Amino acid sequence: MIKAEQKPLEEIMKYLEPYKKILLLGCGACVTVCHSGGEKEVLLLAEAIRIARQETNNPIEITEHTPPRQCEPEFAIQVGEFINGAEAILSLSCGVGVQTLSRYFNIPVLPGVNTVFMGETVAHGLWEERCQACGNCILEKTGGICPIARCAKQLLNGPCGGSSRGKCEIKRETDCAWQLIYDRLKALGQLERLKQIIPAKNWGQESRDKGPRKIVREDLQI
Amino acid sequence: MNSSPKIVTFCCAGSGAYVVDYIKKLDQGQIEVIEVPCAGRIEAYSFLEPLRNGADAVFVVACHEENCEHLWGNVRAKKRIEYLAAKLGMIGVVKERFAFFNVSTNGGVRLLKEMTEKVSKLKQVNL
Repeated sequence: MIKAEQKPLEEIMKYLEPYKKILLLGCGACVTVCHSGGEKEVLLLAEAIRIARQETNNPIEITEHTPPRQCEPEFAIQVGEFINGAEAILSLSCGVGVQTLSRYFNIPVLPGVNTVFMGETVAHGLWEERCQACGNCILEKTGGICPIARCAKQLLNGPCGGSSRGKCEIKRETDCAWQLIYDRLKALGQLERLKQIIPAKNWGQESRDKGPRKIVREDLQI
Repeated sequence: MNSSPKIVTFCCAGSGAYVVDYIKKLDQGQIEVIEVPCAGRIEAYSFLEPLRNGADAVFVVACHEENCEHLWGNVRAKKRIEYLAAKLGMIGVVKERFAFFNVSTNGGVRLLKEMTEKVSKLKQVNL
């Protein structure tokens, strides 16, 4: 899922300076799971903003709402019921939700979180990057461990010379992706896979190098 | 600041609630005590509500570590208070407005001493 972190309160307060009435929107999907923009975080941030504005004798009216998702038009449109004269929307969804709302409402939609990566919940309170949406998955060749997302050098035929005792030379606390791939393939009895050279990826076609990507399913379109 | 700060104190039913009489002896401030089933049950946003409603500080009184009936409630509460102090510190809310105390059911005297020290510090800062 998408992982995000709430922006520093100081930065959010700067955004909000011109506004007296806002709609603070959480998102019931990814950002709820990573505790950066769900219902609880909306309540907390709303209280914090109110306190901050009280301290400066500049009160603000905040309506709080958390739709199931912000990134789907069906849910985004329903947000309209809660705008009720708000001068801006502060969205705690990922960057996708912010842009979906911007498409439907003629008031500023401000981001309350930084969208950081697509990742896995490793433990409660710990999330790690697992996918970079490179556009052509090679996990079947690497024992289900992604060298694009997890190797600092994105090596397709690793490891590099900097792998030491299973750790990466770029960040010593990070596991070497290619050590993980080796261990996994060994456990699966598939070490012979390492003899296959993985060809260079076609970044220009598959990835973002040619600008924003699009998926079209004509069978689903009317 | 106000010579008699208004303090809302969340007390765990397993520990703090047994020493409420001591907490109320804290004569330097106006103390409101809220008993909760476990300090860890209280979400971070609930700690902010008293501040918005005019309290000068929020105190949390929980069981000693490794002595929580719900295993980690006291640790969670402590971390939430620390998180809030750091988060609100960015907008000028001083950290002295949040305090966390561990107490046992027979630890009222020590708690009162610790709370008195915190209130003294609170009175020294400009809220």
